[in-house]
Amino acid sequence: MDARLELEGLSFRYPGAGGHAVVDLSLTVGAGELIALLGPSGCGKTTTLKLVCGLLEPAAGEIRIDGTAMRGVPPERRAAALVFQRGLLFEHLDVAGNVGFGLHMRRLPASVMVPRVQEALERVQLAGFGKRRVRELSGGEQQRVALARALVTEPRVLLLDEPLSALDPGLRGDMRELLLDVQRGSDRATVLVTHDQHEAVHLGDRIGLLIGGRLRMIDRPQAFYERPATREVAEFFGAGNFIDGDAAGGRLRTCFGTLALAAPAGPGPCTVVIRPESLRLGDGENAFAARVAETRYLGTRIEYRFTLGAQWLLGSLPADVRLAAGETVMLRLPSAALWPLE
Amino acid sequence: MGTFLIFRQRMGTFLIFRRKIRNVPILLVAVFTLAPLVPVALWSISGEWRFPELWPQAWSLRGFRHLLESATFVGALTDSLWIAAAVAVTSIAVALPAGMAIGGRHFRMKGLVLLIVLLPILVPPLAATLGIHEVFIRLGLADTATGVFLVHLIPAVPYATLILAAAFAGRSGDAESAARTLGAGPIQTFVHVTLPQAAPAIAVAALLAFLISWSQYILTVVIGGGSVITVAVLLFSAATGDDPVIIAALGVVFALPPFVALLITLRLIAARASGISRADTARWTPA
Repeated sequence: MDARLELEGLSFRYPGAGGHAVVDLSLTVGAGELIALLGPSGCGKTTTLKLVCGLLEPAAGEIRIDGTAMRGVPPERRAAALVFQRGLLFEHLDVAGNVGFGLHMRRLPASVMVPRVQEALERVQLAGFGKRRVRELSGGEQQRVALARALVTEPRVLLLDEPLSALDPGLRGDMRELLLDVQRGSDRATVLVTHDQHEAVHLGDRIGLLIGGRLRMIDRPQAFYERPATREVAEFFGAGNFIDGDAAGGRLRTCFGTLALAAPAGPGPCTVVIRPESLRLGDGENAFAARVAETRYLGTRIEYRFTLGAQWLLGSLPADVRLAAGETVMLRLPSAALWPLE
Repeated sequence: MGTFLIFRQRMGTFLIFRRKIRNVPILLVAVFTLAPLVPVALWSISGEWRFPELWPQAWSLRGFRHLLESATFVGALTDSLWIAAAVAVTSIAVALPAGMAIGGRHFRMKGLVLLIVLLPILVPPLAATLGIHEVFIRLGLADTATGVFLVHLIPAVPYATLILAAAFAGRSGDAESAARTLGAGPIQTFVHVTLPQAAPAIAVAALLAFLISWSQYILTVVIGGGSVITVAVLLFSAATGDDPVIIAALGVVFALPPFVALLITLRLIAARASGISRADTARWTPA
């Protein structure tokens, strides 16, 4: 996979603002790859997109598209199209006028433009919508027009700023499928910005977790659940359980007993993380007597708070297992699910 | 299905009813604005109208004929239209960049800049004009139409700037950003995105500047010194005359541009509310 978009040591600070919006961000997006930049609001996700498409100039660092340095290149010559959260269609133009905008700006003749506009509208399942006025469209349709308007210019880099967050939950699924469909078989690099973990996991080939303007971890979606890099990453992905102890020789001494670890750790003080849904009932390796402190029924699953001496553990078990508060059970912490943090 | 249709019909009547209610204030404003003009309009086309009668006894276009045959009036009308049109165009040329900067951008000392822009209407324009008069005499601009045009800009530019600044303050600039990433250069973006989207506000500002110039009397008299005669000047001096038909005809001519401007503005606002599709999109619209 060729590197289509490369960010190297990118930093940016808004004038007048206290901290940096983006700090020393390095990232490579391959041809045909979709990277989901995930993070809480104000973490620098949108700023990163604006840096890539040239609406902002980085204070430091380098952006390369297809190996060409982008410093000083104006947005219109970067072939990096940005789709905004609310679509932001041009209301003085009809749907076809919006989709054809980029081609019109390149002064292409109508004979080239018309079929490409039509093709782009078909691509987003809006064939025949060309004459419609923007105001007549639903939010989902507007978002699809915005996508078609970007795709028709055949960008090398497609930048999507929270393309689903303004949509109703029902439409979100459709738009997600459309984005995957549009990405399939393409050779462009796509960067999608979102604050929604599930969206990032569903859409991203890889996820970049951005907190406070810094890239905390970048990896395939599974890694964020199975091998989080830091406590912060683990917490963001809802890991829930952190167990402190002393690691030595593949074992962790904790306040409630000694745990066998599958992953290498230590020697020395160490924190391991285990997800609530990884906890099991029954005997075996790493099984301890635990008291059920609290139960919370969530429909398909039941959440339990277990106490193992001084240690609290959050467990999420299938709803067919019913435990009562105050009961004592054998709780197993599978060694493969225990991940030591750095 | 039947129930649904009845529901639709009821909703329909309800909506029409609501629209009527909403129109009442507009109707009241229209009545109170137009009512005083009715006698003027009647006078301007009356042949004979004695005191106790509610309605003119005879009709005639004597007043308008008199005006059209008067070289002074035709000259005043042409001058008024030219000066007002020039004021409208120049005001937009100055107010558009100013409004874009004040409304759409953040910069230091914005309050001070805004104060300077508004100063000409905060200080009575007449005060400034008396000083300007002396400068204009030295520059040879006093008693000329150019001088009158320049002095009309004093009250016109700040109002036009205010309208455009408000229009640009309501825009995020994201539409322009999107256009840039789609391949539009800065000038293309301005022409194809900013201008069309700001067009209604620009039209309203231009109309207002036109009207400010059209209705200006004192500034015209001070700088024009009696040699630049506009319709407003003519009307003021005719108001002391003794032929009510001619005064009324002049009054109708004077009231016409604001009336047309009002209609155009209302149309623009209505067009904006329902969304406008522009003819030039048709060029690449697939059939």
